[in-house]
Amino acid sequence: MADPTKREETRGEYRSPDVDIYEEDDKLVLVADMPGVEAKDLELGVEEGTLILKADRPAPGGERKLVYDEFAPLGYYRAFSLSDAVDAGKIEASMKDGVLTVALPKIERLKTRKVEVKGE
Amino acid sequence: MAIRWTSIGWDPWRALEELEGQVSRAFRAVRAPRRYPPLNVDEDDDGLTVVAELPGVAGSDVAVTAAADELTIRGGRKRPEEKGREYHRRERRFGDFERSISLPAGLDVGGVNAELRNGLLVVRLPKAEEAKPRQIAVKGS
Repeated sequence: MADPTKREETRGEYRSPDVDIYEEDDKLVLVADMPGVEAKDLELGVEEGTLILKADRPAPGGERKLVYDEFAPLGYYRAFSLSDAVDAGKIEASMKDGVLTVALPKIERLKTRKVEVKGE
Repeated sequence: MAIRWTSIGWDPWRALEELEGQVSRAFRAVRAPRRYPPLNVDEDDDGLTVVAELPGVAGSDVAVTAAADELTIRGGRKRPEEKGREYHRRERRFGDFERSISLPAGLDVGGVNAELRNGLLVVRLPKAEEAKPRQIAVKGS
């Protein structure tokens, strides 16, 4: 299958999380690093063939004097267009240690199946 | 060799210099490696807070060491089993990491506190009492 998430979009005031996208026989899996995010902060949806990952991060409170910073404590946003090969209705997602895993099963017809060849 | 024709208005030499500077900076930015893990350090009246992004890392995979003048964060996350997978995109970083930062004087290192939640490590180092800013009452005449 050619890259089934060809077109994607990010937004200025959010950070784009690093993702791994891989394909197995029966599904497409997207794994995103979103440190600081837990399940209740996450908005995940599919709209017109687009998978949207969004999470707001609570802003650090109080008066802080920033000494050194290598990452912006912004929320996350990233959107991917999904090919017709995936069944967006059967999407499953889980979140652990700031890592989101989204499984998108392939539609029946396109699942590749290993065929056991019986010998003599 | 900058010749400025300020009376004319447009200075082609300066424009070329600026373009060259921009191109060099763009190349340097691309070459500079992203540090892993990225750290943020904040200071307030009561202490220093160091935050590290460690997605996918559990408490047992990271060690924080605080000495009088240095804080070290060490650990790693292993790449998962990849057999049978065809990757379309691979951006996430794996492997071992170790980063140290110098600590300013005046911290109560014994009071260090570290918490790892949702892949975010927050290390808090309180200031020693005598190092905290103090309001001084100014006596008038």
